[in-house]
Amino acid sequence: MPPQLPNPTQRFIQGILPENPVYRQLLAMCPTLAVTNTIAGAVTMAAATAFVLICANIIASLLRNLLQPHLRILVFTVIIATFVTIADRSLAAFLPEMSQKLGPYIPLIIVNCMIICRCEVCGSKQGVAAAAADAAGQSLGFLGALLSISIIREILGFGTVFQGWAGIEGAGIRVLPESFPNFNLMALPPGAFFTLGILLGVANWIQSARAKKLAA
Amino acid sequence: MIRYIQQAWLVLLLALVFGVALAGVNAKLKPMIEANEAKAKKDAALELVPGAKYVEIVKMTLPIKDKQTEEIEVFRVIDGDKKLVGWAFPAEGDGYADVIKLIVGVTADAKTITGMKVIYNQETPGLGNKITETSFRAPFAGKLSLAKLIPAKNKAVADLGPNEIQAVTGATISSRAVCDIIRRRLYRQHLADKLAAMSEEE
Repeated sequence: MPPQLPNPTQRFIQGILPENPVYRQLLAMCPTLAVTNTIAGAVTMAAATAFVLICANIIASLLRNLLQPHLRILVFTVIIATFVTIADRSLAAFLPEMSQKLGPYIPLIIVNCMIICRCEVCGSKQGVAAAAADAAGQSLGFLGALLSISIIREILGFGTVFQGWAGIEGAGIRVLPESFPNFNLMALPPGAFFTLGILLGVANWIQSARAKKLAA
Repeated sequence: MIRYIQQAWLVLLLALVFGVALAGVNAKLKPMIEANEAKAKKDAALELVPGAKYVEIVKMTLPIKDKQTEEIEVFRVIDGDKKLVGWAFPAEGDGYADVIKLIVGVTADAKTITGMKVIYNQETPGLGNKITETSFRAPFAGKLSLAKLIPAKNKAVADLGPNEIQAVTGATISSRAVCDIIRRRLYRQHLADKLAAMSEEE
């Protein structure tokens, strides 16, 4: 008897914390490290990924009965590439400064393992409701993960929040006083690795503490 | 052959459908994207030349090495009375990480730089990135267009020589790149002389 697949509500909730794409599945490490030096960049990346993930999951679900096992990855890639291109061109047209800042990382969403993983695990196996709920949950989880890292990196590295957010003046809202020295490393890749590593440790510790409490 | 199509028909169909969809999206968005780029350059031109009200685009051909040429769009900057107040032109070159693209403003006789603005860079955030800040850009205004600009380290703005701009601390390569990019256009590609000649004709 094959195991019962989670229903849409369960899929949604799973994606946020228990199966968080960054902290539990350790997927999408590349954009997580690359664009989290500002909060605005992190939110834009999460929004673009959410758009692609939800659309790709829905289409994969609609086509699930037509998929050939040995060609399914190819089909997923074609679907994902299309939506990423739409997202990339839309960003260049409507938010040109953000598009320039995120640079090559938006097209790289095509190879974001998180999206192809959800298509494989959920989209190609369940109905549209479950696929959409799964995509929404995972996207929220991804947003949360990116925000957790980018808040630390931007405040410590630049002393501001919302730097580069369209609407608020480009320099963002200063949170730390000017006299506070900027932890420059946080704006650079090593800072990303340190922050992610420490937060991952914290996430694992929380998880094992909960498991001990449940076992007790 | 039939067997392959029986298996791959979905992939082929999706490729066709998505290809057409993307062509449509591109057709709709491409004008907007190009307009964004043009607007960024035009806004920079208006910002860099004092007294600027309108810009007109002039195409110019400049020499590059080995007898080859490149075509660039120069902005003829005019005031409310249609009088020439200056010129603004794009310039680009290699920075530390990737290309750096600038717009540079000069006076009507093209003898003095009125300012410069970085419109594209991928320099290190917090270091080379500072070439976009007003503190780095300010010393460029008032320099002679044919001067060989060099980034000076650890000097206050008041102590800068006529050919010196303030280097960004920890980003000498980015600072020097901006100077080289400007020099290449104005001096080595003779743009300063050409613009001076064009303004004489007016």
